[in-house]
Amino acid sequence: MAIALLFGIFVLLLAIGVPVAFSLAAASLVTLAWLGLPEVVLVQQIGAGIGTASLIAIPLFIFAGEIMMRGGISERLIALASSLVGRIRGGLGQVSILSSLFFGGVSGSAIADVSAVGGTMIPQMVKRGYDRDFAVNVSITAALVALLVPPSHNLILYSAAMGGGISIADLFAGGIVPALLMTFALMVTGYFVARRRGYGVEIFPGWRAVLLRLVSALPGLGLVALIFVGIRAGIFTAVESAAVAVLYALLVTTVLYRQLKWREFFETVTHAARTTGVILFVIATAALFGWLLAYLQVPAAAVSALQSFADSPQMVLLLIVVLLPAVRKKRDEVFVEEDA
Amino acid sequence: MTLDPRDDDMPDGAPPPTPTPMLLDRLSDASIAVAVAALLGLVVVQGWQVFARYVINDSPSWTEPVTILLLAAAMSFGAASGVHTGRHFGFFLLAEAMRPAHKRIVDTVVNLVIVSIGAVMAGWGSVLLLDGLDIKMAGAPLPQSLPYLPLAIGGALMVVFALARGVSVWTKRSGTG
Repeated sequence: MAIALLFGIFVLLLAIGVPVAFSLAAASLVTLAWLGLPEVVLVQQIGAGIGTASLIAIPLFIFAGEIMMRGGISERLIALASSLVGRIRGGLGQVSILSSLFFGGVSGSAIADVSAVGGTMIPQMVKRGYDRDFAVNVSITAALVALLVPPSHNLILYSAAMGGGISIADLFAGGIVPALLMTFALMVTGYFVARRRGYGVEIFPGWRAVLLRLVSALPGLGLVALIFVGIRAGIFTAVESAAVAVLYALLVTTVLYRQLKWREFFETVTHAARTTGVILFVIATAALFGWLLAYLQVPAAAVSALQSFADSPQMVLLLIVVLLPAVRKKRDEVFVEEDA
Repeated sequence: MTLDPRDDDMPDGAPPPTPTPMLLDRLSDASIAVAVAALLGLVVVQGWQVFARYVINDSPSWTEPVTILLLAAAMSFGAASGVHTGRHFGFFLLAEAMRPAHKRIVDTVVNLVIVSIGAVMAGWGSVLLLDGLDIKMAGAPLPQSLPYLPLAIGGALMVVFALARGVSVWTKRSGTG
């Protein structure tokens, strides 16, 4: 009953428009009362939720991403991607996909990725005659690569959720090949869609321009190397690497590119603080929700239920492969009904 | 996402903003200013940790508890300001599709939920803060319960902002419509 109450209230509140963080907290609060547990647990678990050491990296990476987005690094990464893949069929789509990989590698956030790259590329694609559905879809899908490449916030969260049992450095290393594969698959798909719809190609700017753009974008790309090598080599922890990323991004955008003035810096840090507060509050209330799930032994019951018909890793993977399209189909049906 | 009452279209010739919303705006600005200071503090503290370890060869012990305190401040004040500006993530499709009368009721419920959570954070956060004031943090000469201070203040701010939003749901519509 308590589990039904927890999930039921959460879904109900979410449906009527209560923000995610408050839905999680309110569902937990009601369940705590139902179980006869004191309300103080809510505050204690929210406090414990943000006390996880590796989570400190997230606000700092958000800040670094904001600096790079407003300080000129994203523009240079897009320019580099444009000169590298612009001449492939559906060039602007290809540029969007490759830029997302580059920018995901410096921001670690799909939201930052889609704002930085999509904000620039979608209007350009529409202006050049690309269909809106293509422009939006390619930008949003390509931004998801940021979930895989270092310094992915999701990988940091995953490590924290596992109680630090899985190293962030290993997760970062493990995400690189899937990210490259995803980018390649998207570029191939984008190519065939572009060919069918008759989208054009971009003019190749010449090898000299490619070289110049590469040199210009290198300080931005250097951040990926700095974070990845720094953590893998044990020079600094994930949290320290995030602080170093902020200082490095500040150095590049103020001294080298000279694009981040005081006014932009103030806007950047304010925006980063707003985003940080909202995201961390979701994480903290999710920790409370997770604590209740553990208290009610939901994970153990779920594992036991899953193991009754999926007793090998292959079977679990097969289930995921079968279930995901089914869930997506159902979701699409709901959206179609809403649109109708 | 149109939770922010300031996003609503104001009719031409609308009266200038009353002192209360302006006061709430300033309160939200002050709240985000604290979150900004905490975020910058995080960069400085973590940067100092790397510098101290490799340059001075002396890892400080106070950085970890201070980092947790700053993180609690960045979250609590940022999240409280997010209530005022309507920046919290959510799914608003159903609420947006409702009739105005139903939406008004739902908006009130939404704000009451936020008030409840904020009140629990403020109340129990204060109790926990007072409970641990005499105990010293491991690694820093600060009270162990200090990270509950931003949670308590942030909770109180959430109550104020959500109450104001709840009131504006009724006053704004009756005033314009």
